[in-house]
Amino acid sequence: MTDSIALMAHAVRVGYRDMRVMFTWQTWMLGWFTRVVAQVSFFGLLGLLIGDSEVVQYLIVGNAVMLAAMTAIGVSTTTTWERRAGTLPILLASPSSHVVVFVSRSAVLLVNGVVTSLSAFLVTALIFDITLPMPRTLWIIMLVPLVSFAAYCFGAFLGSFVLRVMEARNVITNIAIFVLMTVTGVNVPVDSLPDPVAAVANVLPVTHGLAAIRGVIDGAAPATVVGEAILELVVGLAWLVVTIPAMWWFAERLRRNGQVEFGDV
Amino acid sequence: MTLLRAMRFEAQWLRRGLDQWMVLFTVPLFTLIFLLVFDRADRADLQGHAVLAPVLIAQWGMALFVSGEIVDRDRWSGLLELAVAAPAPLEQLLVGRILSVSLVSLFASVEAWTVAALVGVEVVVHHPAMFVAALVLTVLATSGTALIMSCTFVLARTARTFQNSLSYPFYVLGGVVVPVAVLPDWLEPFSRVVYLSWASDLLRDTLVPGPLDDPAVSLMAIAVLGLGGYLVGKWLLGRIVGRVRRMGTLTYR
Repeated sequence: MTDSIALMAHAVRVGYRDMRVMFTWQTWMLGWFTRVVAQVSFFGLLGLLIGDSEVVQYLIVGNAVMLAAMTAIGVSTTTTWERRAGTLPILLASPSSHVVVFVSRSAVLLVNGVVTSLSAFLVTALIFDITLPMPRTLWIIMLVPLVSFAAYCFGAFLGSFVLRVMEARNVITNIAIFVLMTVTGVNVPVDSLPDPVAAVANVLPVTHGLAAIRGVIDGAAPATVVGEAILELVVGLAWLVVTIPAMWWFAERLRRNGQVEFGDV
Repeated sequence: MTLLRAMRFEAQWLRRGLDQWMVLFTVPLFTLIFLLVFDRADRADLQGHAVLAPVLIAQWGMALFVSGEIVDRDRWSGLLELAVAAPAPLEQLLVGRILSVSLVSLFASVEAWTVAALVGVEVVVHHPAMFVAALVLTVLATSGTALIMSCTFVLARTARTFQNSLSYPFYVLGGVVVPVAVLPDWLEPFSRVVYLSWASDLLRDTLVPGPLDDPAVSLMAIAVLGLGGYLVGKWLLGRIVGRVRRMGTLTYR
């Protein structure tokens, strides 16, 4: 247990250093943050084109919260980073659990996702002159991390598939992000979608967390908000539980058929 | 001849992997999202916007994520040294390859119109000749602009950060879904130097029956901005290749 925690802490540190290579404060602010504000604004503008302030608010809230999921889901490419670094075969051969490493290495994305989402929400709410009821809107500070966590667990599950088809990492991740944007209530309510699609949305991250956030803003009963938040947590944990055997199984297959190799992807 | 061979080379490379198709994989979902949003608002008049936007997004996205990486990719694979040493002009090689990517991006229009048809939406092009002319000029302007990206990404520590940051800001400035006229006034001067803003306005106009509003001005603006992009890209290419040759870092960083 102590070893696993130490391994986890080490993996988190490695992930943090990876991120420091990708971003400096300047590139985060001028590159990443400008892009995400533009992304939320892009969808908010659809509401302006329609000419309905309620639609503007709906799209801004949905797409700002989606940023937490979009960032966290990047965990799916962690396995590729290990392969790029040439450490994947060593990791799979070592007595340490590769599942612990894969799942915890990108934990920094959770923090990045939450900070990105909340800051972009604040900025776009100001740009689009959205009035948020205070102080209850502050509860979203507790709910956005939940969305980020559920998406992270889902992304880790996708990461197990990426182990098998590394060249498709970006395709898998992007399609997953767009599916979430389409069916989880980010741009249109889940109940406006066909029943089978809505049923799938209920087991995906974002759906319940976003419903809780919209509930907070719209002044829904606390029991409804808490219920949705618990469901989001359950969905996240369920994906985490499925991820562990999936990662183990896919890694075992790589080990058996000799497809673990050094080199760039 | 060099141009055609370069186009063929890039088309063959595109067939090899999945990653370079990433933008085109997202087109059906983009189309669906836009259609769902407008349908929920009961705005059938905006369906043309919903179908056209992913086509323009694919043009820009492929330029960013595929064409933009050509020089960097060649540098990593050791191909850049050979391309620079070869008697064929490097600029023609690059333009041919970028053109190939831009042409492949046109597949997005098939995807977008197919998705629309599948959900029972029919978007009619009322001015087909102008639609084709605008699309051809857009492909050329995208290729010219992509030459700038391909050169500048070589200088970046992590090109992906720049690629990501240049996507949505340009979808907004380019008015790919929401016309520039709806954007705040202070954004308009910035929008008008982005060829996409002229292309998106003109292409949307071709979906509406009735006479077109000054199409020659829009065509001219797309052509001039695309040519400007190409000339800047050509100048940058000369500077950057000259620099990495002098420093002996043509292949290695």
